[in-house]
Amino acid sequence: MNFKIFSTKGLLILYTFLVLLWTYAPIAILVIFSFKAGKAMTFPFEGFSLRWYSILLSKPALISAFLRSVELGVTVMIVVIVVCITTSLALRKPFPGRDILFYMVMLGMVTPGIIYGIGAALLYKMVFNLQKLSLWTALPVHVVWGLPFGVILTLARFDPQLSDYESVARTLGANGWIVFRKITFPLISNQILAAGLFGFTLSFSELMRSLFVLGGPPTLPIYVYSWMGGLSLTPEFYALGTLTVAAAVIMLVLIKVFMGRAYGKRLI
Amino acid sequence: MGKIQSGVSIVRRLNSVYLLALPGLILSILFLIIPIIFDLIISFYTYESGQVISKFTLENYIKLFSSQIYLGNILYTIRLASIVTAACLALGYPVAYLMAMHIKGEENKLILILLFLLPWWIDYTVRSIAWIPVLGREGVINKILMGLRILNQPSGAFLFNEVSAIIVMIQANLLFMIGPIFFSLAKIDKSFLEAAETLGASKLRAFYHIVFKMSTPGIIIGIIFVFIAAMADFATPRLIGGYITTIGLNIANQVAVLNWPFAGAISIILLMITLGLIVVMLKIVDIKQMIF
Repeated sequence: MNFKIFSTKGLLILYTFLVLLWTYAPIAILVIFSFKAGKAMTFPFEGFSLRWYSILLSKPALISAFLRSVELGVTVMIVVIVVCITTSLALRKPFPGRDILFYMVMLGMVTPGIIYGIGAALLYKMVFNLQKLSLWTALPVHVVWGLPFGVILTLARFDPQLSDYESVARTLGANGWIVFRKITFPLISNQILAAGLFGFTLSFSELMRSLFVLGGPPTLPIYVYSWMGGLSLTPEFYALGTLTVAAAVIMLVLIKVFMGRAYGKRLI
Repeated sequence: MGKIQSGVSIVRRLNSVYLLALPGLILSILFLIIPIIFDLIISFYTYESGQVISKFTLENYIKLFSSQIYLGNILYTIRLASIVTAACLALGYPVAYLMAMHIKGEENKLILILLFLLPWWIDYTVRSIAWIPVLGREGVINKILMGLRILNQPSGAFLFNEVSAIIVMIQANLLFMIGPIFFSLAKIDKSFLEAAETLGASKLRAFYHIVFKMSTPGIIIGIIFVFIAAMADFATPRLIGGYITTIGLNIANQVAVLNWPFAGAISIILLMITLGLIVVMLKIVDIKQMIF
């Protein structure tokens, strides 16, 4: 081991560790407090209890908000996967208008979401003359938010090696569809899955692009946002936060598995 | 004959490319471009006694630029976003450098990236409330400072103000600084550094001329991401910032009282600021070279 704490590497590792500690300490405290018996959200920690979880789960409005978020998130995931495949395939090679399409897709990622939340609400009101917004009016607004992340992930996979495999298949007489189904799709499938999970999570926790374009019962972020507006912060929030963190961790582990596999394949 | 055939196949390929481009194109036009146009249109509408009337006016922009409050808010938000961006750069660059230069194996790098993705991924509310036990009067920071006898009594200076809003925004957006810098650093051919060393350059000189210069595209993209996210954020200022008046919160408040024209006008100015920043930054670096 040539590891010295005072080497550049040692200092960088220490620095990174401190940044991670600073990032994760509040999240860890949140999780700990959610299991606390008392109501006061202060140290020291006294007594383990699932009390706040049972209070949380006895709120039907919260459960329905959660289910609505899942419903929307899963739909966003499916649409993002499909559109991500077509858009990435289109953007692979130069064609007249490629830059325009690329910049347009990326626009949603690099400009503030609130602009599109308001603009889409106006579009629904003024053009489609929609009197009632629903869960599904938020769907396309969420899709254009998740899409650029997915497209970037997928485009990164189109390396020269992948093109080589495709041209070999074509030389051996496979038609376009067969090449896509047997070569291209399996090779990009992990990125596509990661893109879909990205779309799900972005939609699941999205507030700015939901608040003005989503009608009917609220999704989870909207519910919590209006709940918290009352400033009556109770430990149920911490229980809810812990569940959200747990869900995010599960998503990240899934992405790690898919992306990890993709990296593994690249080494072949 | 061969020429004609390849011509036909090019036409066919273009057709299929445009067909593939269609879903993404339609979605982008309908839900990115057209919403911007509607923000623009509504910003010229009149708002009178709680009603939006389709009568052309410049009133909203005049109000925005003649009011000390709104101009002040814009400048304040730019300052806030600059602090967040600078802090993310300072915190993120060493992490990105470590990942690109010292961490071995794609898998370990991916894990680090995902670790910084999580805080951005959990929603605003959860991220915000997590800091209350840390920054509050009874919180960890106050306990530590009192234990060290730096403070005599608990201070409320850390929570529900600018400080806590900045802290939460940094935590949320750090990945978007680390990610792009890491990707640009990872492209550096390490033999350049060896060459610089062989030719007698000092470590600092080699770092500046090779590593830092080649990572500028990543820095620029990181700055764009973080700055814009911090500019537009309306939930963090409301949830943990003690309602500090950022323009994001201004927009949300105007929509809440159904003053869509004024909300539209502020949105357009916000868009102008962000697009202006992007255009300036992209003059310095070509974003496409990082992706294609």
